[in-house]
Amino acid sequence: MYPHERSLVARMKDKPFTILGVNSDSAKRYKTAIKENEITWPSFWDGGKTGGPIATDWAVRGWPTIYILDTEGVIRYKNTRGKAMDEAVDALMEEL
Amino acid sequence: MTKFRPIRNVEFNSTPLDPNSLIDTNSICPYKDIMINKFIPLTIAMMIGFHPVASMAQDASGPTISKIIKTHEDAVEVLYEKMRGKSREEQQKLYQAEYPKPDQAIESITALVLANPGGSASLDGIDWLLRYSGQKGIDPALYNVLETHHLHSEKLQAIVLKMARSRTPETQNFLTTVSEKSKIKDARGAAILSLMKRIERDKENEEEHTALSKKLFAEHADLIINGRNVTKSIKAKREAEEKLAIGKVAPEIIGKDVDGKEMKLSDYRGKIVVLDFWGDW
Repeated sequence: MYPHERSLVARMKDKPFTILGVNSDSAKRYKTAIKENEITWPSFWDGGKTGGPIATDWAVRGWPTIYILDTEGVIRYKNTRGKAMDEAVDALMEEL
Repeated sequence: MTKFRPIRNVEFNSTPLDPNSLIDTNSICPYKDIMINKFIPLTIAMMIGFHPVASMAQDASGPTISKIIKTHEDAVEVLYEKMRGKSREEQQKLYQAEYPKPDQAIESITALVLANPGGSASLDGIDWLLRYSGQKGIDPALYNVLETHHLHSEKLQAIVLKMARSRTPETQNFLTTVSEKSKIKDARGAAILSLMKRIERDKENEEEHTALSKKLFAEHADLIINGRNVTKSIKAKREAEEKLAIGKVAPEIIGKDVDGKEMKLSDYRGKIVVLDFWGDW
């Protein structure tokens, strides 16, 4: 997961793109994770547990759960991962 | 990760439940009252010269069914008692080695119910069979018994709730019949619920699912199961899902990063956002 996300971020450098996390780890764990895995993108911190307020609002039942939003904030894809995620982001980039 | 659920019951519940049971069925021997109620009129009938052979025959299966169920449940209880306080691995090993096979009991109870479909323990027998027969389901002939003898029984809700797991066409037909014809409102609502769950599990037939949920919301807004308003929570879940459908503007998120700095989803308008609910487990 992390290497793929890192390469996506690298590829989209200088483009209107971000990964935005909602993290459900404890604060300590989260801080270790971003250091060890070179996570450069921002994350909401959801209170240190999987049933946190943001995950609850978004009815998240499995981790990871992924939504891809366009520049207007509209939900365009759900749970696309790996290659499909790259393609989805590319397709949205084409629209710009 | 091991998916071994019964442990939880052993550790946190004083009365262990069947891990497959959707609802609490701890009525192991509910026939005492029925037996008393039946024997007294029977005795009176005999005294006044009415020949009760038929009724006697009908009731003979009831106590037998209860006895078979009790024997099995007692064996399970003994095992759970043995497992108590042991390590997780030991519990799992014991469970796999010693869990009493229900096959013989399933066969006997099925035969007894079919022989006396209107008998006093017929419905409880079927209830038990549904708990233990898994995906392959109960003997199809039992659905005729249910439809002919128990369609308007007060105990029907518990029965139809257990049918969400079985995939046979007989189950489907019976649930549809209950949802339309049973005089027991709670059972009709529960039948709709079980039909919906079956569709959700197979991830097909969205139209039928929509039709069923419409009916559930319209006719069973107050369907209570185990003290919980099921319709209400399904509705809430549905509304959350609709809000998060593809094509909808994502709901705003106002939160903080791990250092307490405020963040908003809308701060990222103008960018393509991969919103990633993640954890480093």
